[in-house]
Amino acid sequence: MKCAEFEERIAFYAGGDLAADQRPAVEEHLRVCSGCAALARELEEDRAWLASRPPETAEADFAAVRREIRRKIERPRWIWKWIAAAAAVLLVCAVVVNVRRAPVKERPLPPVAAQKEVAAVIAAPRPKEAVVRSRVRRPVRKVALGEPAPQVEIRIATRNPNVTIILLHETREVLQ
Amino acid sequence: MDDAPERTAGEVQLLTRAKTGDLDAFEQLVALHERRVFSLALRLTGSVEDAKDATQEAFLRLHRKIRQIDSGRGVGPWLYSVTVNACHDIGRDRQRSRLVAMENWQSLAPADAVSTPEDLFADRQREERLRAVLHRLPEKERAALVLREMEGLTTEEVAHILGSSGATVRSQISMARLRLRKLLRGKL
Repeated sequence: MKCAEFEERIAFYAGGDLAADQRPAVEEHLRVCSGCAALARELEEDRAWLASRPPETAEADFAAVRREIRRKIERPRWIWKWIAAAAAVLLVCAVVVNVRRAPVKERPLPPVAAQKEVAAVIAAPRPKEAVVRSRVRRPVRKVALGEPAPQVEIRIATRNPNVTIILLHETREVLQ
Repeated sequence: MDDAPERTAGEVQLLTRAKTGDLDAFEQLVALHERRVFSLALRLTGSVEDAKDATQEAFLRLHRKIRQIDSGRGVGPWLYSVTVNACHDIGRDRQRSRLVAMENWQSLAPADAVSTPEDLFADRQREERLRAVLHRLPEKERAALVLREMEGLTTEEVAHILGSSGATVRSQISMARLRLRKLLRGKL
């Protein structure tokens, strides 16, 4: 096995992460190879140096960091309070505007007699539609029994242009 | 994210109060974890501003989901996960990098005890270069490496946070170790 192939195993070995069954081969190689032994030594030095470094905090103003954290935590509470207040104000405004737009007009009540008259009209049965319409009877001619009855055709268009409803109606009366 | 016993006991109380809507309790919970969250975010994003945004976002997500968190387990594991996701979202949204300058690569030897202003300055430079180097790793490898090597989590915990299998995460971490070695020594 070449040194390059040992390199990764030595890196594992330096941190104590190498599998137990692979350790003897690495240790044997380190005994006979000065280059790999130097590599292992440097890796150990680096590990020791990294472990010796204290937490790096000199550049931080922790009081300011804490204040900012607190401000951000408290801010949402204020936002929701403001949103609730704004919603309440808007609701009140909407109610006021609606009331002003459609004021209830207080009409004076009609005299008692008139009220009775209106009640009678309401209570009376409504006249039939035919009565309401003012129809002008156009002169018609009766078709004799032997004579073929003319057909009245009513075409009703539908939304579908291909479909038309046709009503055929035979009549004994023909408009003159 | 530390789980010291005294902190855990206090955290459970704070978490219980925060779940009832007690904002002061939640703020104390933030104060317990903010440094870890910010530091993780800074190493994942490579930018102070992005790390601040990710920290805020992580705690806002915590507040939204706080009732779902198991008081017994605490917020630590959940915060790791949500911080990684917040960093991912910020990185995706911004599509830009505010990395520190990458010139003048020097050997990043392990930091010694820091005491003098010169040492502090040198340490600051190391940290900025570390951030820059981390940011040159692929996103998933970077997250796996930081959680494993800098936050001290197990491979299984990292896999759970990242939603990947243990084998995948082991592979990502080992690849990240090799890349980091080359980057730190100017070989990449």
